[in-house]
Amino acid sequence: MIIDSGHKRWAAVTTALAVVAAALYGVTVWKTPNGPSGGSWPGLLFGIAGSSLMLFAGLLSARKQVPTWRVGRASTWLKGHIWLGMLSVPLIAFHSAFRWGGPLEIVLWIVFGVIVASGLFGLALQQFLTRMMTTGAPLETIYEQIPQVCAAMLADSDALVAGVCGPLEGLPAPAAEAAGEKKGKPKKAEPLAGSGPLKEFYLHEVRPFLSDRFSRTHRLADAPRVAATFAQVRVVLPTTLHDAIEQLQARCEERRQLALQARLHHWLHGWLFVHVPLSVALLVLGVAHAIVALRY
Amino acid sequence: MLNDIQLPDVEVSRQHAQIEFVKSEYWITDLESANGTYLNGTQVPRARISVGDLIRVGDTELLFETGALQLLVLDGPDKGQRFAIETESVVIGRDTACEMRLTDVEASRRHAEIRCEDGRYFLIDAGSVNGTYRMGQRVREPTPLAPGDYITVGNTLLAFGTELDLAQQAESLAPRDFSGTMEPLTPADMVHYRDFAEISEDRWQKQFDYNDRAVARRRFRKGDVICREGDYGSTAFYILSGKVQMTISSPIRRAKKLRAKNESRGWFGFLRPNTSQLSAETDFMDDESQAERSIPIDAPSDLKFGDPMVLLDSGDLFGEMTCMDFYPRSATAIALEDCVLLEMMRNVLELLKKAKSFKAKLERSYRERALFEQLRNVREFADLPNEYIDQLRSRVELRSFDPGEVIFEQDTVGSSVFMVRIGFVQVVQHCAGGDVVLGYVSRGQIFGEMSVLTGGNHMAACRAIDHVEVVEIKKEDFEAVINRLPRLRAKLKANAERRRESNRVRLQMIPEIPIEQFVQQGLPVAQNTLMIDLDRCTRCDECVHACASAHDDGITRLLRDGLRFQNYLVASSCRHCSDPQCMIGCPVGSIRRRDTLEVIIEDWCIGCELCSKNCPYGNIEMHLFDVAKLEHLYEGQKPKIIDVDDPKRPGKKRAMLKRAVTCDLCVGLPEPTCVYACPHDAAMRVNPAEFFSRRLAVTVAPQATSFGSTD
Repeated sequence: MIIDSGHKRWAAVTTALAVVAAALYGVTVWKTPNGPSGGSWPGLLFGIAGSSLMLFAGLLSARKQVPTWRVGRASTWLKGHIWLGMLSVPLIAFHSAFRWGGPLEIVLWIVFGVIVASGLFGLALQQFLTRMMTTGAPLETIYEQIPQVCAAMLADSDALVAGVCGPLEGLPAPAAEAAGEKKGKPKKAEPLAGSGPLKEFYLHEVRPFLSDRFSRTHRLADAPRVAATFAQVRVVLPTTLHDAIEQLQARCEERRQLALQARLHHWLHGWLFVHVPLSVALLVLGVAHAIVALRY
Repeated sequence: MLNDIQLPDVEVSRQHAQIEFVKSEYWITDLESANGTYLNGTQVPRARISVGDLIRVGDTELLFETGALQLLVLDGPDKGQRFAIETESVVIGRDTACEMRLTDVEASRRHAEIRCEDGRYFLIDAGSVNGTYRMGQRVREPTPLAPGDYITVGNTLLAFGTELDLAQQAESLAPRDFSGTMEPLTPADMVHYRDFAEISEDRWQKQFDYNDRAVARRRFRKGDVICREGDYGSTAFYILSGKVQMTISSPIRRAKKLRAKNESRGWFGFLRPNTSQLSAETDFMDDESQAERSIPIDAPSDLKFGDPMVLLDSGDLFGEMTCMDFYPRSATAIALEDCVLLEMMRNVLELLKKAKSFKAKLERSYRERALFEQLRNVREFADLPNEYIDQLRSRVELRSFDPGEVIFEQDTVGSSVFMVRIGFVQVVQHCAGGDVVLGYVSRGQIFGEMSVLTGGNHMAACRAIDHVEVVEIKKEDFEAVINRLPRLRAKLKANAERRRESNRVRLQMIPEIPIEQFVQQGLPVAQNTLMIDLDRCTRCDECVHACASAHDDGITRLLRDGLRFQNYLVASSCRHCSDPQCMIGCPVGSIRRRDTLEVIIEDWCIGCELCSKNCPYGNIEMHLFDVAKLEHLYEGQKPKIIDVDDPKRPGKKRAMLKRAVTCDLCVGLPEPTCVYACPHDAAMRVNPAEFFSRRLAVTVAPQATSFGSTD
C-alpha cells in the first residue's frame, strides 16, 4: 500500500493515541513507587489494548477470506492493520514496562519484533517496487502464467528459427515437434542462405535464455547488452534474416521483463512468508502468555 | 389415403371403416362402405367399441383388442425402459417406492401419477419441482391421456400407449435431429403452391439456375426437432401444413440478487455473502423488467416471458434472420404434429419477399399476430390504452432496408417513429472527431421518436446493420395518439430530453482527448471500465478472487490483464461500451443496455456465443453451468446440454449448460466487489473519457504516453 495523503488521518489518530498512552504511562510511572509492571491494572489495560490491536491486525487475513462481506473496504482494513498494528508496539512496551520478562516473554518480544520489522519492510518495498514493476516490465503478465508464456515463447521461437534456418537438431521431442520436425514428415522449409550463424546464435545464446532456467548473469539479461548483441548479429547476417532477428530480440526483451516481474513479485510478496506465520504464532503465544501470567 | 389395416376381402370396400380414439374412448365409423359395418352383429354407422367386441366388415370378422397400455422411455437416462400399466395408479418418480422408477435427476421423487378412472387414464402432476408436461403443455390438473401421447418428466420423454402406439412413436422419434425427409423441389413444383402463384416458373428457374437445391420440401413427424436454438444455419422455413411449436429451452431463471436494494438484510445482513444466485422465482424484477416483457425470436410472434412458447401454423414463415443474415437460430422448433415445411435458402426467400401477394400475406399475418404485442411491449407505450395501440396498428407501414442503407440522416426533420421488426439498426452521430455510435436498436425497440417529440431535427443518423424491416409510424399518427394523452406526451418528452442530454455530455468528452492511442484502444467508447493503478497494485489478485466469490459459479468476470494506458491497466472486464457491438445479432435480444447504459445479459440467453465473438475486447465469456445443480430451474424443459469430462469422476461426463456472462457491475451495491476488496486502493471503476480527460490533456504529452499490451 502506498503511503500517501490518504493516510494523514490515520497517522494523526495513531500519533495522538500513542501520545495519550505515553502520558498515561508517564503518570503510572510517576505514581507507582516501585515502577509499573504488566500485572498492575494500568499494565493490564495496556496489555489488553495492545493485544486487541494485534488481534485486529490479525483479522485482516480473515477479512480477505470473505471479500464479499460488506464489513468495511479492504483498503480501510489494511490502513487499520498498518497504523493500529504500529500503535500496538508502544502499548505492548508500556505493558511490559520496557522489560524483557521471562523466557516466554522474550520469545514473544522477538516474534513481535520480527513481525513489525517484516511488516514495515514489506510496506517499504511496496512504496517503490510496484512502480518499478510498472515501468520496468510493461510486458508483464499474470504471475502464475509466466511459465506458460515462456514455454509458448520458446516454442514460437523454435518454430521461427526452424522456418528460416532449417530443422533444429538435438532439441527435446516436444520442442522438435513444435519446430516442425514431425515424425515421418520431412521438413518443408529450406534454410535461407547464410542462416547458419543465426541457428548457432539461437541454439547457444537465445534458446538457453528463453528457457525455464533464467540466468541473470546471461548477457541477454542486460537490456543494453541485448541491443548491442542483436545489432552485431544483424550486421553479420543477411537482411533476409533481419525480421526473424527482430522477433527474437523482442522475445528476449519480453523474457527479460518477465524475469524481472517474477523477481519483483517475489520481493513484493516474499516477506509475507515471514509476517503471516509469525503473526499466527504471536497470537498463540500471546494467549499462552496471558494464561501463564494470570494463573501464576 | 392408405389403409392401416388392409384386408384381402373383395367384399370389403377400398376404405371401409375407421377406428379412432376420441376422449379416451374407441369409436368405429362406417366410411359409407358398400356392405356396411357390423358391431356384434348389428350394422352401425358409428358406435363406441370396447375390448372383446366383434367387428364384421365384408366377410371378415375382427376381434377388438387394444393391448396392454405401457409407458416407454423414448429419451432420457432410462431410454428404452418399458413399464406395463396394470394397476389403477402408477406413480412416476425417482423414489424407490414409485411404480415406475426413473434415474433422471431432473425428475422429482414423486413426480407424476397416471390414474385410471372409469376406464379413462388421467395424468396428474404429483407436486413436482420441474412440472409434468403432456404434449408440451404443462399439466396443472388431472389431464386425460390418450394412446400416443408424449409425457415429459424432467429430462425424460415418455410415450403412453399400446405396443403398437409405442412402436409408431419410437419410429417417429428415431430421426429426431433434423431428420425431416428432404425432397428437393423444381421450378415446376413451386408454381403449384398457391401461396407462390404470383411467381412464374421462369422466375423460379432463374433461382434454381444459381442453386438447384435452393428449396426443399421436408416432412417432419410429430415430436421431431426442426431446428435448435443457438445452432447456426442459413435457411428459413415456411410451414405448408401442420403445427410447429417454437420455444426457448433456456431455463427461465432470474439472477436473483440478494443484494437487491429493497431486500431487508436484517441485523446480521452484513455477514450474508453479497452474491447473486440463479433462481426460478419471478418475484424479483429489476427496475426495468416488465412482467409482460416478451422475448423477440425469429418468427412471426414473440415469446411471452412467463410462458416462452408460441404456436406456428401453416402459412407461417420462420428463420428469416438466420437465412438473410446468418444469425443463430433464436428458438427451438418442434413439430407438434406431422408437418410439411419448405426449407429455403436466401435467394428463394428474397424472391418470395418480392412477390407482392406473398409479402402482403406475411405482413397481414404480422399485423394480426405480432404487431399488437410488439407495440404493447415498447416501454415508451407502456401507458398507452389498448384502443390507441389498435389505432396505431391499423395505420403503420412496413418498410425494408438493405444492409448499410440509411433509414434517416442526422439533422433532418423527423417525420416518423420507427419500430424494428427484423434486424439491427445502428444509431450513429456525426461529430467533429468522427462518427460515434450511440447504440443499436433491435427487434421490438423504437427509434426516431426524439425528434418527433421535441419537434427538432434528428440528432443522430440511423442505418441498417443488416436486412432490416421496420414498422413506420407516421408523425401525424403518432401525435394524434399522444396528443390525446398529455401525461404520456410529457413523460416521453422528458425521456427524450434526458437521453439527448446524456448523449450530449458523452460526446462533449471525446474531443477533449486528442490522443490517437486512446482511441485505438477503444477507450472513448468505454463508459465504465475497471482501471487498476499499477503504481499502487501489488498484484495480489484480491480483486479477481473477490469477483469470483461474488458469483455463485465461482468464476471471475475480470482478468487482471489487458491493455495499458500510462500506469493504468484496463482490466479485461466489461467496459459497457457506448458502441456495444456485442449486442448486434443476439437472436433472442437477451443482451441489452439498461437505462443507465450498462450492458446486461438477460436470463434467457441461449448460449449461442455470438455476443462473445462480437465483443472486440474479449470481455464476454461463455461459462459452463452444472445442469445437476440447476435442475429446479428448467420446469421440465430440455435445454441444449453439453457433455464435458467430469474431473472428479474420470471417464464420466457431466451435463453442462453454456451461458454468456459478463460483469454486471455488482448492480445493487454502492461499489463493485472488485473495487471494494482491493486493499491498496488500486482498483477503480471509471468512465475512461472522463477519467483521462484532465490527466492526458494537462499532464502528458502524447509522445510520452506509455502504450503497450500484455497480451
